Amino acid sequence: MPRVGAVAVVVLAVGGYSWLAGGTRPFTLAADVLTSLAYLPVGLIAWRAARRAAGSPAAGSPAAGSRSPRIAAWVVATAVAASWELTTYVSGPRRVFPTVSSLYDLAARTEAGKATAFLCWLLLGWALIGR
Amino acid sequence: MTRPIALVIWAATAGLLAGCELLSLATRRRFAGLLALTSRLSSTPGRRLLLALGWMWLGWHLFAR
Repeated sequence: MPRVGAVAVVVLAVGGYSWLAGGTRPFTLAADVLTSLAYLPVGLIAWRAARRAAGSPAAGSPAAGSRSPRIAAWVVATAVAASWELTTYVSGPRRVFPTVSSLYDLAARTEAGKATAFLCWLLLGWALIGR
Repeated sequence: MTRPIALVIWAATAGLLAGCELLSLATRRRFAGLLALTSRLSSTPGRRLLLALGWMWLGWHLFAR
């Protein structure tokens, strides 16, 4: 039960922090500080994960006999996304050919949209380097 | 080409990426899901560092600048 409580606290804290960050504007001190502070917990978790991995005898190598799941579908989907991003980037005008950045700008016009994007960015950091 | 068509292509691309996760679920993780993919991408300290720098740049680009 304490674990459930801890998870709830983390979810609330991360959600609240994202909402705060969603209310900032780029090129302001508040945006700089709130973005920079987000580096700290993810960096700390990554550092702990690296220490844990260094202490493990099988660090960096898959367990014997295990097979890595296939990633071909991700490679194809990412190639399609990158190709379309490149196509829109070199085409114009931007209003007709929106890039990921311009779609993000559209979403980030509202506080909720920007807060959601910030939350997704935090989750991405956790998934990529914090586990 | 019009903006709605470009947006439909973006939506299809997002659907393709979501489909990768669904494929993973449907095949009982024989195909990698997003977490398995990110684990593989960050399997060495060097890769992890590069991903960390990329993630930091992305956040700065989107939210601070």
